[in-house]
Amino acid sequence: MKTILRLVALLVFSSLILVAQQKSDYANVQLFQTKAQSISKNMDKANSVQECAELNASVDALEKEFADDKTLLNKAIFPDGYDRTIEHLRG
Amino acid sequence: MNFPLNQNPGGSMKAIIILFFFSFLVLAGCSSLTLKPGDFAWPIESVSKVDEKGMIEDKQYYFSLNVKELLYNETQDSVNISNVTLRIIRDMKGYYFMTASKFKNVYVFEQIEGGLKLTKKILVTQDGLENPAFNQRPPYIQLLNGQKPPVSLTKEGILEGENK
Repeated sequence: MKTILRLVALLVFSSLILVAQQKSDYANVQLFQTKAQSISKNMDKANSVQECAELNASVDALEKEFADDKTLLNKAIFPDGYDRTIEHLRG
Repeated sequence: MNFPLNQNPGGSMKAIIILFFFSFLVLAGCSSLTLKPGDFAWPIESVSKVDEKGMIEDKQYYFSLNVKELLYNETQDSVNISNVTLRIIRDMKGYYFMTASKFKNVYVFEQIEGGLKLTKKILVTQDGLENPAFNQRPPYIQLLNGQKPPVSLTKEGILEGENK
């Protein structure tokens, strides 16, 4: 039974790796930009302290989500890249 | 019969020096200047929709190109071209890789004056690509095709040991 469970876990793990390998860099950059733009727009509209706090949490989440792609985003997004986009959002 | 050889040794020396000087100038002018190494890799692919004239325009890498001939080569259809989304990436050596959804091939081009010239047509699938995307994975170009395993490409073709 343990062996079967291990085998299933291995299969799930390898399929996760395969899915991770399939990631398009272009799609990833687009996703980051869309999320950053959405946060930025909402920041302009924010009226309360609570909304601002929620948006700050969104920036933290964005930073964490794309931390592994930092090098790619810094190269691909001109002129701001990952670092300056996050910096601007924290502004 | 005596010929007056070397009557003016200083003069012939001068001629030799002038000749040597001119040869040096000519050789220096002819030798090509080479700048190496260079890295021309784009970090991400360019994704552009073809317009009704067969043109694509990229605002990130600042270029425009007429791709009518490429679309005709792949689809044998030069009329329905405006809905094609073309994906292009440039590798470290400066070669351009192009493909699109439903294409069976990846086209490799090199830059020439005012355009691109085909250097290789790589057959990647007989069924046509489902949802292609290029990733920069130096020294290779990675080709994604939906849920199928990714393939590594070079300007010569598919990397050996990869799916054909």
